[in-house]
Amino acid sequence: MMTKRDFFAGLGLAIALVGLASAAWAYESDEAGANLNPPDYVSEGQYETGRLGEVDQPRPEGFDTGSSYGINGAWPTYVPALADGAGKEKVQAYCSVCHNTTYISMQPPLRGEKWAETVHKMLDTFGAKQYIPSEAVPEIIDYLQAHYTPETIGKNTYSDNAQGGGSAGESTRDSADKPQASAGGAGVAPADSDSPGSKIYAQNCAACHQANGAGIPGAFPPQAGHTPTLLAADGGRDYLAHVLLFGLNGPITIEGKTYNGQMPAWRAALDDADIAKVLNYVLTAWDNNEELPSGFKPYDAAEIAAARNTELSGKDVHDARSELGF
Amino acid sequence: MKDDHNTVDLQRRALLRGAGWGVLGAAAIGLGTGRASAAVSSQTGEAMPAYIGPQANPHWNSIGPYVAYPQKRPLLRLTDRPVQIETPRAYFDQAFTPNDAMFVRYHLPGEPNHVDLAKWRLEISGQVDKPMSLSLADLLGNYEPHDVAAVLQCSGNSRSYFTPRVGGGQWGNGAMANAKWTGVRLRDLLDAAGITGKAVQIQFQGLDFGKGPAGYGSHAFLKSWDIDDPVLDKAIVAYAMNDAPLPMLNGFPVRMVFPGKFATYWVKHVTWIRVLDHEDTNFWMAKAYKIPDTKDGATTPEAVAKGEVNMVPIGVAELPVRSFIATPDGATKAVAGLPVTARGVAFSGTGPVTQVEFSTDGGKHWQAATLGTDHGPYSFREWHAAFTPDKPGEYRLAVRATDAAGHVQPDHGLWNPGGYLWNKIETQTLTVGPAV
Repeated sequence: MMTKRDFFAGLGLAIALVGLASAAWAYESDEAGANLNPPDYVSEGQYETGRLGEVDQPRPEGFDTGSSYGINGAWPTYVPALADGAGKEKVQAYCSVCHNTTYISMQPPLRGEKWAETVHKMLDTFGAKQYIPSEAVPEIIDYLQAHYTPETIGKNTYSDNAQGGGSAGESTRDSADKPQASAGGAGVAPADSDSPGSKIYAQNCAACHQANGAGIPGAFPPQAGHTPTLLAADGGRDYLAHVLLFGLNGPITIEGKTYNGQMPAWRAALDDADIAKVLNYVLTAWDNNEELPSGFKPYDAAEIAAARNTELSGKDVHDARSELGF
Repeated sequence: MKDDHNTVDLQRRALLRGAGWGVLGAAAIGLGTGRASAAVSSQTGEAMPAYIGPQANPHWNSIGPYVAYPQKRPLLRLTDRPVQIETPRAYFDQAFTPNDAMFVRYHLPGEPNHVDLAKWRLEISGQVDKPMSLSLADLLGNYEPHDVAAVLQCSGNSRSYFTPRVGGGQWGNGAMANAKWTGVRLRDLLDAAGITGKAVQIQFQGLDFGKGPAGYGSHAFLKSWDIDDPVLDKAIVAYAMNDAPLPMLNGFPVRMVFPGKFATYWVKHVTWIRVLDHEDTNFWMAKAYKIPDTKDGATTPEAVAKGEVNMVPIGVAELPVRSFIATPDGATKAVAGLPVTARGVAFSGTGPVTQVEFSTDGGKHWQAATLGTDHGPYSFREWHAAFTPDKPGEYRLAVRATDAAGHVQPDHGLWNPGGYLWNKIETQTLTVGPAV
């Protein structure tokens, strides 16, 4: 290549122009004189499916003429998955009380002692010790040091563009959309790890509400022993569907503990069938099935689809919770 | 500024007309003689890596993806809860940053998305004779409006260029913006309220809240100035930005504007102005946003480790003089003999900018760039410089600004633990091929 270019440079502009002229007559042309083919010094651009993704444009929405100003809907989140490894779930749960884990994935590789220092800054200076039990602290620090230092970063796969639980796009339709129970009340069978909603719960909910449904006192509310009481309330059935679809924003109190986190809206990440399955799972796992009101009928996709038609904010859902008497 | 652009555009068009087919034909031959492989290398196939380090970020912007946010064009994500999004480089060829391209930096995840102006009031309380509660209509109707063109620059702008790297928001250069801010003078409000003799500091708080426990920095964001700080006389309580309402993510309905000072003090959605009878000891004043009390705010990791460094609030510093090359940005290969116009912006907190110089050899030789319209001492000032690369090669473009106080940008970076005050001379490689 270099030789050829040097050759041209050496011969100079005059020769180049001769080259251009001598090439010109060699091209085939049609009857009207148009060249039939691109010249051989052109490489035609190929097409391939774009790999950088796209940013959708939002559908325009209007406003009313009242005194309230702002944006319609929620703030979007875009959370890349964390590296896989022991402690990941704890990091996702506890760190997300105050901020998303983009605060971790954004950082350059930091030294191990810097991560330990940062975790202690969160606990003490920022008050996160109120949410994070001391026994979880070493696990959190170990995880960060195992995956985000100059020595360890990038050793485990980053799955780009995945949702918070790394699961939104993954198929959860491997089990039939069959209800877990057909009878009501205490006659409803308990959910187990084969239940259709189990995998959805593990991937999307367990980081905060924990695999055993106990939540984290003061940070994430429990599902075990609590959710059936919501269902039993007048209007509770719609409320539970709305929490999943539209999130929940505002302080709540359960058994004397106050929770003031923010339940995200799942309407974009989970489809109707998935939301029905995970609700049915939560309502029947961890002995919740024994607390169900008699005549319990499992949720199905059509019911969630109908609930989707309501347009609610997380604050609206919080107001609805107050109306239930909780 | 428009005139300057038009002149250059006309020159460019005239050159293309005059040179005509000769230039393009020769360029095509150039490709055929050895650089056709350039067409194969991908400019669209691979995204930025997920992280860069431990070396400095080599890119002009931070490395996150473009994301869509309400009232914003696609901007670059740092974090999504709280929201931190960066302005892409291309917007810095103009003195005023479009509102929908202005960067966003929140500290707390409870960003308001609606404010009811029927209920919202700006509350002025504490050590004042007459506490005040002002609606937006009061601010618009009862106080004289004032304008200032001023640069809003995050304290941590350019933090990703620090070596050794420091934690925190890994901003490239795009955590800055310039706007014409319109609002009420803070001094007019303070005069109306009447500051008492016990006043020590003035504290500002907005509508954003966090999930941390009350009393911690994770719960409320508070910034304060000493009662005798001269910046209070320049401060504006701004209800308009580039002649439009503030975007929600930039502080609707009003935000503080402290010309020449870093953005951490420009409290968004400002709602409570408290005149304190004591020094503010909250986290955001006592512990965060502190710089070494040294010349230029520089120190070393070793000195910090030894506990030798006295740290002071970044409010003592003015924005250091800076200048940027918006274009060329490396996305296009230039042709020898074909003029290139470099353009960008410059600013200083000890302004105005008096001179911008441009170099094509990495700073060995400098030539004066042409300055655009003067929009005041705290504003971006556009600059441009045209040159014609006469032969193929790699040209190291550089730009440096000088301000009225005699500050000149340095050719070296600095280090401090917070990642603040970066103002090293910016460079850009321009690859030039032959016209043949």
